[in-house]
Amino acid sequence: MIRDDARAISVEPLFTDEVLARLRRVILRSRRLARAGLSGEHRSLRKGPSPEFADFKAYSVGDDYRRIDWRAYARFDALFVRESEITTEFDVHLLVDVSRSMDWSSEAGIPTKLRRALQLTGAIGYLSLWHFDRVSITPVGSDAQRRFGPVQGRTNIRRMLSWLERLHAQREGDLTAAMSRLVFERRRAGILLIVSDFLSEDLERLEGAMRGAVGRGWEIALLQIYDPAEADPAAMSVLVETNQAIDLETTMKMPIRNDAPSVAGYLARRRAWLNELETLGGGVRTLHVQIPTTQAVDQTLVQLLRNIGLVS
Amino acid sequence: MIGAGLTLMVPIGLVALVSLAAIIVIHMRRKTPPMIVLPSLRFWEPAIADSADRRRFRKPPITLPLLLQLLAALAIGLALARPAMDALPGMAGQRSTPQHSIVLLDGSTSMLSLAGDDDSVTKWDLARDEADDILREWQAGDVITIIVIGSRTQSTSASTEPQIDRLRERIRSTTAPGGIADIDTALELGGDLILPDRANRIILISDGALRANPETASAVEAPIDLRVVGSPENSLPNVAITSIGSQPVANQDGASRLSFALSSFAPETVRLPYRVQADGVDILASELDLLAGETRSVQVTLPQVTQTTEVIVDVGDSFMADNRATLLLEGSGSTGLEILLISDNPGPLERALGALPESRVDVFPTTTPGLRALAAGFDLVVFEGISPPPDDLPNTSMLFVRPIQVGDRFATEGVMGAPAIDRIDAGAPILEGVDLAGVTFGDTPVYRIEASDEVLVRGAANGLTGPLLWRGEIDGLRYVAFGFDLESSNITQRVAFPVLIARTVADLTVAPIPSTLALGDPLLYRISESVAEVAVTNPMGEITILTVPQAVDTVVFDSTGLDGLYTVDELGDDGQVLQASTFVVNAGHPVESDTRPNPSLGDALAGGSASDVAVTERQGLADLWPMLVSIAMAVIALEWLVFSAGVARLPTARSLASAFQRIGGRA
Repeated sequence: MIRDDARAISVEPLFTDEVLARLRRVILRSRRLARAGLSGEHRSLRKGPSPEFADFKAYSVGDDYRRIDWRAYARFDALFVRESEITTEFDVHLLVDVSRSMDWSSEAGIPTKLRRALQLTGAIGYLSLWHFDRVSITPVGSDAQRRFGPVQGRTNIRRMLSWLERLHAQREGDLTAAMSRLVFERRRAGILLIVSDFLSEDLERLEGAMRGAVGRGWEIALLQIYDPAEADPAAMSVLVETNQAIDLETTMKMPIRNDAPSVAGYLARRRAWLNELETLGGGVRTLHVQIPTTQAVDQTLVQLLRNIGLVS
Repeated sequence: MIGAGLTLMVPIGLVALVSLAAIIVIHMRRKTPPMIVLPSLRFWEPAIADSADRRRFRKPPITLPLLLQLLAALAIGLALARPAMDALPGMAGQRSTPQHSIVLLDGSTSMLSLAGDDDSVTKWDLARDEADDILREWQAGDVITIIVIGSRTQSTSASTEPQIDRLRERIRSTTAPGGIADIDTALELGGDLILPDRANRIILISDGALRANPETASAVEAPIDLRVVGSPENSLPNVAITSIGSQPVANQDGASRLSFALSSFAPETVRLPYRVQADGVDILASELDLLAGETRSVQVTLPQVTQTTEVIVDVGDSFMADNRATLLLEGSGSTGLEILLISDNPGPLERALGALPESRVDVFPTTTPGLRALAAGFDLVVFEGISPPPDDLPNTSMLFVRPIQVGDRFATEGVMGAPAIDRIDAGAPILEGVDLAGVTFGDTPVYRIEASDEVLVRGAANGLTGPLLWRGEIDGLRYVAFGFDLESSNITQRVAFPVLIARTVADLTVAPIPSTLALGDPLLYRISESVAEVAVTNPMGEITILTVPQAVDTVVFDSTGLDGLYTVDELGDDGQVLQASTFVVNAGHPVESDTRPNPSLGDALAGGSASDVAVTERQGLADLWPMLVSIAMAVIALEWLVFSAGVARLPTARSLASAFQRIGGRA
């Protein structure tokens, strides 16, 4: 059965040396893109502590006394505080769906959605840590595992990847609840990337949660992982005229028919669902990207960098 | 035969094709839908079972597994029917089972007739070509036995390539032995040659002008394949002189009446012009009309002292040799049987002796002196009622009838009054075909015989037993004795008497050379003891030397395949010609001159049922079942791959390639 084959593939490390090498090449390209102003570190409008001097201001109560320029005090006999232009770092939060519906692929040679989701999560985390963004990763499953991070700095890359390797599929989790909890807990707004197939989500609830997060300054990206067979079920070789289908998430059984009307109905309902998913959050500071499992993770990363400019 | 060159050896095997229907029915059965796991069912509508779903069977689904399974079953079913095909190219035509081909090559006289319009190709030529083709079919492990049948039977087997090559050379140079082909004996011989570890087959190559016993054919445990050479449609009809003979004309000393038979084997009435020659001179030229299949006898009085006569039919037909027949008349060189009868009342004995073919009987009274000198030159001396004195015994074989005692010989010890037969040596050649039942005898002396004498018939009466018929030797000369009196016995009025006399004379004398023989019939005759070699010269002038071993008194010469005059010279130890004689071989024969194929031969070879045995004109059959089984195995393997790849529907080339790529990748 396909699931067995998928397990056979998942035995391989998520991040092989080859995958890591390709990610590094993408990251090097992202630096050049950053210089071109399409991505990378943002120059902040805020003044703050930084080696790069910007200006002086008179000391006032509450200022960090560590920033007092004692040489200026000696010269001018007045307290001045050094202000500098600082580069901002993003808080990148990744919510990755590890429910059972993700642990599926239509063919033996295609990786499962979970594998692709974890690889994409690792790639984005790799890129963010490389650029000194603060990264946290939250798996969403029935028995929620401990969150990774937030961490900052390149020294955490290897640890993050090892942590991702240990994740495995679990029963259905509540993605909306996890997102709400994260937004509530974090005082500082950041970028929230949700990596999931979104198949088990109640889109109304999800939209409500997204609107709340956006209202608090969060930027949200829905990275939808899908298997090609989900877009074209007739191509699935295991489907015969009539099948007894089992929902991987709910274990519900239902007879389905692989004939033209049934497939057409399937495609229509999926199209409507996708339209709904794309318009979640009203399009303001939200983004929806479809990523097929057949697409290599480095290509996905390039696609995100080049066409969206989302990842810094 | 089901098509061009295709034959089903075991048609019953086609029953296996029922499996095709079974496979289709199995696929038409509605199965429990297979379980599949999907990440979500949120976009699927539950299938609602309609009336078609609730039926037990559905229409046949055209799926790849179904088609492959049908193809495999079809190949296996056909393989079970053992199809064989002519001249299949390449390895597909290779036989997997070693074969023993027993080729019966008809070398009878009729095979010397022309095969068609071409006046240079005989049926024998075509038969040799056919045999050559069979020899070319030889594969390693095969055995080929060729039996040439005719007046003599030649059998040769070959199982290696050099042997096959030699056999082919021999067949190319072999001439037809002629004569009548005894197909029944040949079939029995072929049946005896069957090898248990090979696929045996018997192939009869003939013009079809044969008669076979269905029981003999059905007893042969091998398929019999009849290959008819020559085309009856393209062959000329045949006419022939099927017998020739003569007899003296009463009251005309030295004149003979020639009798011969003209036969037509043409499909319609033919007019036959014929000529009769006496010593090379035409004495009659005439013609007659013969209906289809008719035989008519013609008699012609020959001039006195004619030594050789010849009949010639002046028509062109498929077998010219039997349009001419020669007869050597008495005194023309053939060796007759000279018998000296010493009797005062020769009556029935003289008649019986005179009835023997080509015999001459000279009768002298019992008072004739100088018997030894008189008997010189005779083949047999018959004494009736007397016995010669010991010093006057002829130097030849003798027959004694009711001998009288001379010295110790033929002494008697009483008389049996009207004896009855007490014991018979039924296996004695002299008594073969002699029916003595009901034969009565008059008073018969009880002869005292030598211990070495052989009693053939013993009688008994009034408490006495004694020999009625016995054989023995006197001074190294063979004799036969009848102890009873012919006049007081009823044996002379029974058919047993001439048979008994003929058997007795044959046992005692050297058989004369017949004046005529049919083509291919062997010359069989007994020679005198002084002959060391026999030289036979055929019409082509070729000489055959027959060495006569010690203690052998019979000569057989079987190379009589040419028609015409043969010369026989009997040579002594010093090479001197002791006696010269001639005989003529005529090609005409009531059976062999009929060159028309026997339409019932096929049925006869099939044991009386034409459907039992393949009687065909095919050649070079090759088994197809190994190829079909290979195809079936390949299809089954493909079906397994398709099953493993999960390709249920008819695939495109792309999907197939993808499926196999997956299988390969997984492996």
